[in-house]
Amino acid sequence: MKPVVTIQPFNVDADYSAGDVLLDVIIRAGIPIASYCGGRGTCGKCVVELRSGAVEARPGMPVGAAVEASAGQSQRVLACSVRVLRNCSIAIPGGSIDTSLQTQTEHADVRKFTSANPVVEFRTVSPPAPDLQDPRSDAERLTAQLMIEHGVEVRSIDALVLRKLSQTLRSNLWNVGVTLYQHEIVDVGSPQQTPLVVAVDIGTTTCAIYLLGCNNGAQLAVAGVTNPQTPYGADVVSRISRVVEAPELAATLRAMLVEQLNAVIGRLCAQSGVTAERIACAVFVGNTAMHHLFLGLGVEQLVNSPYVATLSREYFVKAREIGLSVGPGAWACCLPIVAGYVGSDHVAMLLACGARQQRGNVLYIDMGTNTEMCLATTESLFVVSTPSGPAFEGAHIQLGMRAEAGAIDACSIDEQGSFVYSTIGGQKPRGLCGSGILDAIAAAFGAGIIDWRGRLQNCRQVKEVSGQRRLVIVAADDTDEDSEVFLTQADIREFQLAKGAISAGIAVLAQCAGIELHDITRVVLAGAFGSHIDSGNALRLGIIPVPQDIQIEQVGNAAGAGACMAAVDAATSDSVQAICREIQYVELVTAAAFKSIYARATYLGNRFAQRGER
Amino acid sequence: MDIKKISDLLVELEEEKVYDAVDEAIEQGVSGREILKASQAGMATIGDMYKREEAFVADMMFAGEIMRNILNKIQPLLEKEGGREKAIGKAILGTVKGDIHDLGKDVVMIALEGNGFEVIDLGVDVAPEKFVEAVNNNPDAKVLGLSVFLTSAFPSTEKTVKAIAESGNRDRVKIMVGGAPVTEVVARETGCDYFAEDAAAGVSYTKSVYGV
Repeated sequence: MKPVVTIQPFNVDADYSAGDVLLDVIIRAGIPIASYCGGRGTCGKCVVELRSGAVEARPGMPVGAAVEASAGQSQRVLACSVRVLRNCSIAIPGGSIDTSLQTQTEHADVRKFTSANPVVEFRTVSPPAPDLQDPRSDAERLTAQLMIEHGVEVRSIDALVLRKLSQTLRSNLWNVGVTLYQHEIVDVGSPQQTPLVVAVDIGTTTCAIYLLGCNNGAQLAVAGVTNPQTPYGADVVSRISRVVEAPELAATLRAMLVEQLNAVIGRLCAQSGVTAERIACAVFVGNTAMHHLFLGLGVEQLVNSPYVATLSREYFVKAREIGLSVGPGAWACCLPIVAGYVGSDHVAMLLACGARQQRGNVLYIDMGTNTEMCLATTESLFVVSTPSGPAFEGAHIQLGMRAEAGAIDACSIDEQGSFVYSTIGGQKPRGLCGSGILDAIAAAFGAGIIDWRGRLQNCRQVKEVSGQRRLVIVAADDTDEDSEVFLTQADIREFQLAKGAISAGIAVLAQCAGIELHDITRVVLAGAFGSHIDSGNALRLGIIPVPQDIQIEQVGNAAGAGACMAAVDAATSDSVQAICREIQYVELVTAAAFKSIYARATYLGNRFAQRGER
Repeated sequence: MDIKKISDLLVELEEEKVYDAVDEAIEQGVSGREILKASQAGMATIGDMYKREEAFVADMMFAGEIMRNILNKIQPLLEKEGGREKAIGKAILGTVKGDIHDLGKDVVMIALEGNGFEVIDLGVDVAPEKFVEAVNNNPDAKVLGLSVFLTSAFPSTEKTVKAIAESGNRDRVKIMVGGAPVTEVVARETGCDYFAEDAAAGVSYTKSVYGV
């Protein structure tokens, strides 16, 4: 009998070898199973139902993680905590499927990134046909004509382009379109085939992919997809830890991402009625870990002190060398990174926001699992990265979920003391996404249901279930599955730790920059989460410890926008270098006062306001 | 004034009010040792609440922070009174090389201090030779606590235990290890004596080593 694990409701037969971890078998089969902790048995998301067959508990996993309960014939197990012994039949319940796939296209704002000095140049040219009096080589003929017609100097021709050059010139009757990238001919084709560029923001959780015209920078199409590496760890540290434990995984993770990117690029091209062959350049940004995993660089030293990157400078490589299915001579460019925990996504964000041009104590925040922040003063760009954890993405929160259908994304408390809320897609609520969690805690804090220390008070919205206090947001009768939506005391603690990390990071930044928190003049919130939160609530809870009347701007996926700019406008290259030069990276661990600041920052409200200002 | 006010306010984490109360006590001529005792009682209460999950990790940190500030205030008094009372025992703590997480270690430190132990805190990213040196320099310390949060730092934990064995002091200290990914198995395989599941377990173990 062939060794297979039958996975329902997908009706997939997945191969395995005896002893394989069930989660790995499921991921290899391409099923988007939820796993935030990367298979450590701690997040409890990868629950599957074992209908038949045999598994054994995996040694070294947290006690009780393997087998949750056994009722009748089928057992519920955590896929990460068991090894397959014999052929099995399993069913994956809806709650264990990561449905965030393709839901985050909200930054699909169509923008134009104009440029007088495009990164990819396109020239139509008509070299004279050769004859016995003019037997110059085709390459020489073409380059000479580019100089005559456009004053363009050619320094090299891509090898693959050379191979098809003679045929292309002749089939186009000596009237061709030439695509150039920094004095190299990267494609030759018909004069109508204007080239395209791609910009990619590789996030730990979500990737945003933009297809743009190269000359006018118009966005042709955009997509947001889940990073396929997510089941190997929701946050950077757990994902890298997996690779450190099993180095052969690095190649798998890289291949998964490249395959995903190729599929999305193909889809975007099809949508726009173009072929991926026309893409001449792809710009990538991402945090340092994603950058390293994407390029196949070593990651172990990234998570160990002193957190050194393999490479920080801008990196150019032929797109085909990293496996991208784009134009023949296309280049891939990875923007420079700053430090172990501050990646090129942050650089791109600062580029898109024009941080160098708008000085005067402006605070830029890109909230995520790691939150990167920059305080732009007249003197410098002070940057810090703080481990805020995945709470804002709904992980580590019992009923937390990503921003998908059925998630409460906004709520408040009315005069009667009842929660009023909205859900994504208008469905009955199933849980809360980051912005909903923030709103619920802010509302309960405002109503005195949660005190400044984060403790749930005795009142009618709070009850105790099996020893754990919970704040009930939606009663069971108002949900589809007849189970109430709530936040537990532990959830609120998790939120406090995230809040504290950001708030303390900002206080340390101000200290390093030598300014007071109330000297901050403007706050710019970037990223998917930062763009969807109620900024007033973020101020009231003290996540951003600045005076309440300060101007807060929510700019969407600025990192993606920065990548687009870099893909279109050659002038950005200098700006990027300048940003990297001016950044002063502040290491929180070595910031003397961080601990004492952090101890205060986890509490609700602005803990850094002067006495009486609170 | 009622000296108990200091411990109550500390338990409530009313930072400014605690300091005011301490100042008031000093003004009224309360001895440094008495203030210290009241503060330690408050710390012990917070520690118990943490054990019962009524207080959370930040409460421990914040209380520790307030405690340090109180100590600074009463230091001159304590010196005049001939120093602090003798600690029950001494423990050395540190987060192993390659890891910089200090939350767990700090909680253990605060809990140990609240229970009357003296703690030598080596900080984070501590190299094996630093641990060896600290054990050498503190012959009265019977417990060494290793904190590790990253699984990638397990090998470094093992190296630390080996280095101490090679220095010839392995029999003199009991080594406990703790941190989110640590299990009994990890403790055994890295050569440690005890897996401290939480801060309270670390305190009980240290107490048991000192026979109190």
